Amino acid sequence: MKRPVPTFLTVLAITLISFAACGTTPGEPATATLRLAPSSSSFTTATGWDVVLDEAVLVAGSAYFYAPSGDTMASLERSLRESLGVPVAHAHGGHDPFGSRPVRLEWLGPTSLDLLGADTIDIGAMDGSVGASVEVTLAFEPLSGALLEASSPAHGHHAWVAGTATRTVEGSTETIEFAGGFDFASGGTENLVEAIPAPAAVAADGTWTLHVALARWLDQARFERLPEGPNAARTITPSTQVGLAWDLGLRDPTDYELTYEARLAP
Amino acid sequence: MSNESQKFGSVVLATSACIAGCGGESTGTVVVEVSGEEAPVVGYPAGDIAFIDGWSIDFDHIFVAVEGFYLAEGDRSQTLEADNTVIDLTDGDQELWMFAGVPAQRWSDVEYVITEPTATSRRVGTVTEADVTAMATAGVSFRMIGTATHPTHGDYDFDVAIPMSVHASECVSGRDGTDGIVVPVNGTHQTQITLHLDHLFFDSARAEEPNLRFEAWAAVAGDDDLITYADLASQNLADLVGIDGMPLVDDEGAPIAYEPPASGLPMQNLQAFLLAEAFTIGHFEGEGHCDYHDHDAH
Repeated sequence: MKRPVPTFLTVLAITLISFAACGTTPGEPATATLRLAPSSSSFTTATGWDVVLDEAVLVAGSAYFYAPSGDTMASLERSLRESLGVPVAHAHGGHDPFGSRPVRLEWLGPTSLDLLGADTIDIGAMDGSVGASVEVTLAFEPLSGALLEASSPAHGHHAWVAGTATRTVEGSTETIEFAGGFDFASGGTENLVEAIPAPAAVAADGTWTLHVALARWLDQARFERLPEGPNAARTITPSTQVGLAWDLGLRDPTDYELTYEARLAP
Repeated sequence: MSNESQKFGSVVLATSACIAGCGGESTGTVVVEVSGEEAPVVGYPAGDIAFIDGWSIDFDHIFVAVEGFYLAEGDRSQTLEADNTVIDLTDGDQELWMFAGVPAQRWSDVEYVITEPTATSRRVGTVTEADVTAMATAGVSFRMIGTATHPTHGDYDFDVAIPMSVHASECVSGRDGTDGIVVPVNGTHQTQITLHLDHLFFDSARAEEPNLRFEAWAAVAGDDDLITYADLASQNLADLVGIDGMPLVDDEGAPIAYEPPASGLPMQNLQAFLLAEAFTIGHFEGEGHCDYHDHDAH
């Protein structure tokens, strides 16, 4: 439950932050850069298919890095910023999406991420406070504007894959071209991937790098069950086994790894 | 002390400081009962809760081991009961404890634990020593035994024992939506741990209104048509199989999906899904939700 911050606490927070030492004082403002590492486009699934992806795109909406429960400095910082009218990630009680948890850092998108890029790239800036982080929630808000266009990198979806799957059974080689989009529903926790481990001592400045295990997205896919269509590439839809396997895979928190490197002041 | 002497309505005094008469503080009584609502007694369908795939359920036993009832308000707390008690929900609503001398005030944080019993755990109602010993030996806090019936597929027996250890906290009352309980001065607050068994058969941990399904359970029954907790591990959520051994699909041929929680599952199978759902069966005073944590890690 959200409680109003008394004025004296606001003044205290400002005082504390003003006198904070450089870089490591809990509650001191922190910034970070969120980066994306490239993923491997080739892998073999548990179902026996060798997959080569030509396209893999994820449209991320926001990311919330949580402090440990009871971290009052993270809460104080958030409450201070709220009292100053600065929009912040919000916490709600009980079984609501984000729970009553203090937020260490937040990144707000949305941004279309090409997971097959050649190099690690910057996604964007994050702000928050110095202190421990424990885990991350990725949120996928409803798309709008150019991201909804079929011409967008994710073809108007939250995620998009295209490629080929090949297997050899009893000496006979079968190759299936595939393509398709994935969309998160809205409401409750439908559009969240929670509990992504992110243990770190967040300093005043640093970088977080996101690694996406694309191989796990389609690890349980049975491409042989994708129905043929009018196009060369068979379409992945929610009503196919491949679509279901992808849904389960893409939502699995263990598909995502976040690593942190602090940039400490000299 | 034999279990026969620990009857319904026995009074257990609060064990922490400042009980009745301490400094003249006003006190009241808290009575705690456990309910599975009507489903343990009448089975499913129960009211408007029914299986979407045409199954019905009759329960022979639903054993649950409840341990502890705790109250907290700010920096003040009360441990009202700490020992493990096993009940059978098919006996109907059961009163577990009556606590006199509880400080009369609001206690915003109500907590309780569901965790495995020991062989000497207290028993209520028709629970036998053998029932408790079986649970303690297997390390399970929940065990349901019964029969599922389908007009086409026939009868399948189940004996599903779940090794969950759950700490429920910050429970909200389903009666009035407030946090915890209010103990009245010289009065009694009748409170209830409400177990929602339908959660065990849900096909989604995320949907607002999930369906109840059973065929994926029946499909992994052994040759004796008995379904156990271990059997459920063979159902891959990405490729569920029906009783006929073919992919489990709906009327339009789309695969049936069990939707895991946003926090994921340790394994993508029906056993892991059931364990995650079992974590959420404990409610408070009807529809009130709690926060659920792994008790072993709490």
